[in-house]
Amino acid sequence: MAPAVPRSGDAIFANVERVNAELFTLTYGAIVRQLLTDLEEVEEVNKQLDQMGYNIGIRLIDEFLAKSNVTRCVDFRETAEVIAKVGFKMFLGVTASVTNWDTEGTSCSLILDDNPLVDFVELPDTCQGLYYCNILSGVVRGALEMVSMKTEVTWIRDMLRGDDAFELQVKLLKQVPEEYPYKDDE
Amino acid sequence: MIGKMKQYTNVLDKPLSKGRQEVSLSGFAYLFSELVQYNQTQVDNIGELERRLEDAGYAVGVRVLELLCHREKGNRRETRLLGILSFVHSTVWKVLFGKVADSLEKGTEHEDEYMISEKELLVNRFISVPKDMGSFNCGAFVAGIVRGVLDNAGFPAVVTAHFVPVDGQQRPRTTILIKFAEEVLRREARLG
Repeated sequence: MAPAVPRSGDAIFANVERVNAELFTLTYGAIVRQLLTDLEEVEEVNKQLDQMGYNIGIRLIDEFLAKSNVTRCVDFRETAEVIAKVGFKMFLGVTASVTNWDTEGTSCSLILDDNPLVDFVELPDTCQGLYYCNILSGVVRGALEMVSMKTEVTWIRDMLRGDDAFELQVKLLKQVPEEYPYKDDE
Repeated sequence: MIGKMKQYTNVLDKPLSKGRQEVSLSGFAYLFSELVQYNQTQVDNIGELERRLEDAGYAVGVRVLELLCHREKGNRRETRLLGILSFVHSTVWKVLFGKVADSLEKGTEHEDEYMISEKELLVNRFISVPKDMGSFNCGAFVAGIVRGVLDNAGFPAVVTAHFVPVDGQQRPRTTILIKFAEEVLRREARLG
């Protein structure tokens, strides 16, 4: 029996309600600004952004699975492809590409073509240690954790820090099998 | 091979986008909900929460004004009250929320009050306010945006967001109340 055909990122994005990316960009900027004022330490802000991303990711995965009809990914390679082609497109309207696979197939890089979070943004000298888009790493980590994959997500290249692209490294730490919530003998 | 020098592109050198790019509404809604949730942890009472959301919105408003003045209005600035109000009600709303605001009214009781109403603010689409938070409205963020635009356009005002129950509708509509400063009205009177 043929499995349900997963919908492409473009098709889903065309069907969801959309808002102006600039509102999104400016709101994110306001969030980062607030965090910098409150927390002052750049490392703390990075952590907080990651945490916020994690909170978003654990909820976002439900919507993603509901709207995209993806079948269970056979391996991590497929997972990464799905995130890059469908996930990013569906929510941010941009696609990413997957590269730099390691020999075991547990670590790869997602390169974002375009990043709506960083329009109009320039990092001042006082914030050079800031990973401005750290919320994205939290989102990916949170979403994958909800589908039983513990990962480590870090920024390899960041255009705001002078590199030529946005590269996110996703490393699979372990697959956590789903826990059956009820005890068998009850 | 020569090592690549880190290149910091100057954000002002990049061409200005046309503003047509979009993200999903749910993406924005998640982000906004994190903004509200984070601020909830930083305050002790509703008033402060509204103020923080307003301040966040203020920063957005400042930037929106600059962006739109340059892109939509060819760097011309409004000098009249009605001009700036209609700029906010139409242009700003259309760019940020995809449609012009539902209505723009002049307050009947006070000369210096104007109201922009919306059946359901985009930011409030997925927000429900628990009863114990009383009249708290996340539209304070939008009120902040409006205040940012007006303030930097030279029309200082106090802007607040209120829920107004409507007969026959389950969700109340939101009104952004704009109360202009004295100097604005005096200037407007002088300009005739």
